[in-house]
Amino acid sequence: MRVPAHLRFALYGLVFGFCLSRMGFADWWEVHKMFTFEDLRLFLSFCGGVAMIAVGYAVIDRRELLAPRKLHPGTLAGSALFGLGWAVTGACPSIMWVQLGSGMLAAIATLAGALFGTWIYPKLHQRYFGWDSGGCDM
Amino acid sequence: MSFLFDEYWPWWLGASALASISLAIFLIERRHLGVSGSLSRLVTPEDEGSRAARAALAADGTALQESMLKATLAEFGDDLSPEEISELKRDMAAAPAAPAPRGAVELPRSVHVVFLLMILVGGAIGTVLAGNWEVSATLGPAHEHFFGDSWSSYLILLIGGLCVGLGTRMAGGCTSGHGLTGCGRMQLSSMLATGVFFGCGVAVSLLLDWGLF
Repeated sequence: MRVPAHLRFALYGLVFGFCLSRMGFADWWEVHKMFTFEDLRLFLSFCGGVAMIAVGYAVIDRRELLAPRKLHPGTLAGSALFGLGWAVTGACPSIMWVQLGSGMLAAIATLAGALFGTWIYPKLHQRYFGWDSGGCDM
Repeated sequence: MSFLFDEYWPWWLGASALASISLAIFLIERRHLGVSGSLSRLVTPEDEGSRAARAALAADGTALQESMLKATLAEFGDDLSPEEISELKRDMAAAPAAPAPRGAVELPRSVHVVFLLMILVGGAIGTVLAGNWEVSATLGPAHEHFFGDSWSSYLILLIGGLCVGLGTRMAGGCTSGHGLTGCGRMQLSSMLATGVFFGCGVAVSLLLDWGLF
């Protein structure tokens, strides 16, 4: 049985959003406490998740993992910008949707900024930077 | 079941959830979870014609073979005798036409749109089932404490969002693409990216706590 891609990704999104919400990742205060190490719960959730994924991927045939990520100046500069934005808004690209779904209308401002930023980047990039930043496409 | 909704999940449950979702997506789709990619696809207009043609070609191995044969003949056809050409055609017909593997074909933009919107719906369901869904104008009392609740706090969110959108697009990944699936694959660039964005988040949050912003 072949389930249509739209339905499959709808399910992934639903489960992902639900779990992020129940983890408290959309709660600005929880994220702030993670960054200041006042509360290690979210930090351990993230690190534990990475460790389990690493174990899972190690079991999977390495040849299947494909697509190495390129390192370029934008990887570091962009990540620094992202870290700043995440600490201020409490949102990474999936969390802003969870925040909005949780009823926080302020997330509309975050979302608008993020959509504009991700839209304008290729134009700036062509003109000024010329870094190959591709690679996060699912 | 009530422990799922009474309070935020303990770390081991959250970690297992993140890992299960990432690994399930890889095993089923042969793709690595990455939300910032979906975000950028959302705002990038699709070149409908070429994308549809490419997807159809990749989904149907026979069409792919035929177009490859056509391209080969266009390139080298002049040097080949009619016997060689018919032999080539026979060989290609004999080889099984395998459909392109999942993950090799670009997803249509609408799939990314559905994925992002369902993250929103999942977040809504999570808070509704926990019994604390409510419409609020701000991100909560703690955010108000640091940034107030006037127009300037929304401007800060807009600029912060801009940093997130610009930064993740520039870095080629976010918490999921670099943090979870990139680090999980032991990619050097992802580990550096994760160190930088997490470290920067720590620095900014500590500065906030110390009242330096």
